[in-house]
Amino acid sequence: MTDVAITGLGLVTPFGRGVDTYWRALLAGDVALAEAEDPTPFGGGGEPVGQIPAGVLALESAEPTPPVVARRQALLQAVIADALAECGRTQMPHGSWLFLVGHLAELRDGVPADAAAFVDDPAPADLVGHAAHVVATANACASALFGLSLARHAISSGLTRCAVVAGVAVLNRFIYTSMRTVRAVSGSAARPWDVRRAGISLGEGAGAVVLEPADQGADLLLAGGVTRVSGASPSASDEHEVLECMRSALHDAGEVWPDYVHAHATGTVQGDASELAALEALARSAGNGNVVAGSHKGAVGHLLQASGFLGLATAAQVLRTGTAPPTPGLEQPEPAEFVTLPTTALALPHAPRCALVNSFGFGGNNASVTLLRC
Amino acid sequence: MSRPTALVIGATDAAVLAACPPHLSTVARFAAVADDLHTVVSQVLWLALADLSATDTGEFPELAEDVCAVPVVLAADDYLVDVSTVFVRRCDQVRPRLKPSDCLRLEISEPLRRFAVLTGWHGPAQVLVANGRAAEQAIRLAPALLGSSHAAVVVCELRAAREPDPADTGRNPCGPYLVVARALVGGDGGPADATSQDPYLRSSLLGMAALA
Repeated sequence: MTDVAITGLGLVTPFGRGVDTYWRALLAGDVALAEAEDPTPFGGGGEPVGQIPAGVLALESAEPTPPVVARRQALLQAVIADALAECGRTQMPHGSWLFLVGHLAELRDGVPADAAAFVDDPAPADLVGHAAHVVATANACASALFGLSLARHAISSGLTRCAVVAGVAVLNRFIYTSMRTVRAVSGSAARPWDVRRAGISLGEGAGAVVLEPADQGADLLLAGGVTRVSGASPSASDEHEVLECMRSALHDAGEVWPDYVHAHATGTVQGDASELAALEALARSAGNGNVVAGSHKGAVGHLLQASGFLGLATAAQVLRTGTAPPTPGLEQPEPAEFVTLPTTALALPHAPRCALVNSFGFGGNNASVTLLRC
Repeated sequence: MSRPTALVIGATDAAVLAACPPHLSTVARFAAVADDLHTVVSQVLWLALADLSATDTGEFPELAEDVCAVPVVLAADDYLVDVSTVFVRRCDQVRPRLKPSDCLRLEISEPLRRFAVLTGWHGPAQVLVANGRAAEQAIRLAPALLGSSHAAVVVCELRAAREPDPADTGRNPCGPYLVVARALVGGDGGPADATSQDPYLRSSLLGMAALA
């Protein structure tokens, strides 16, 4: 089996374009969540949201292309181009695979016209080229990690020598309505793991990751991963399933121990408690005594199907810099015996080698991936 | 080295199952019918996994330990279109009000979750969409999953059992479904060149079976 390296990362978040822009703001504890000037297009009710600032990208488009579609296409184009550029490419190579992530990516035929803005997410042809295979993983808010895990298998098995995993989240009335109907949206900015947390804030953005066989120059490996559909409830997080997910991802990478965990932690009462309990159990059972964990969702909001890209980018930066970022919005952490939840940037006691990233979603979608620094 | 594996066909409607081409009978070892799509998916997946382990094919006994860990890839193009269409329409209805259950139906992994709860299956999962080519792409990707630590992978396709009507802008989202699954073992998972022009064989899995 071939080791799989992360050779390119592209990111657009409410902080702006690029991984460095995101990382600097996250380290500083910045919060991009704010009430939208005009929530009408996406049906918002005044709750704080993470919007991409005007001017970050040329997101406008001539009619009749719906604005949501134009934003999705522009974001996808930007992050894939940036990820490819990092590994010295302008286009996906012959025989490569593009894994789009999300509910509805790459699915257009047969959908009513009024749903076009909800579903239209075509792959950018100039970047993908005619040789690439395209498929989308549809695993709710865990879609990005499901896509990364599948892409990892495609590389490690020798099926292809290059895979790009990409996804985008744009505020729109269908998703917003859905999240409000299930009473997930908080009236105030999300506070993951804070005792006063009251739900999620929605955000928009996009991410792309290039995976290739590891060579001597690789600095980060996607070394393990697990994707499961499980749990007794379609909507509630299951502590046991979360714990098994993390254990399996660490086992898959060779029984490693995480120096940092980028958690799913969205700010919901039940989900955060369940994940924190699972992290406590993980640390307790391993006897290592401590896990450092964080979440970005109080900074930029929950990017739903694309949220895993921010988790992966954060974990990569922790491994590269040795510093764990704070969890913006977290002021009064839930009590934890074995889990450290930094409220300011925290220099890790030794050079970190391993990081774990979690993503969980409705419909029993549970995924964790393991990163190793070479 | 591969061995023959069952093509399992199920449907939400007996007429849909009966309409499957007769030449499939030599490979369609099992058939399942129930009016609930989730139940059909569970039956079809269970039969596919049970065939791998030679488990007694009674009504959902616990699966043998080794097949509980077999990866399952759900190809869900039609299902995604249907649940999306239903949701978009429900969003625009004043009455009845949108309910949380309407929103949770957007998650097309739900048939797999119910299958896991019912049988104890806990293998790796993927839910794919690809603009009508999800099953084909799943078959292409199967060797990647086989190449890790698994001896078999099950590909399951949810196919709306109705001919597309270009004049119909609102397909019936509650219409009948055909559910087809096949376990790919060892070297089975080659590129899916077997898609057929036969309108009954739009499914890549059925196409593979017809040419077997």
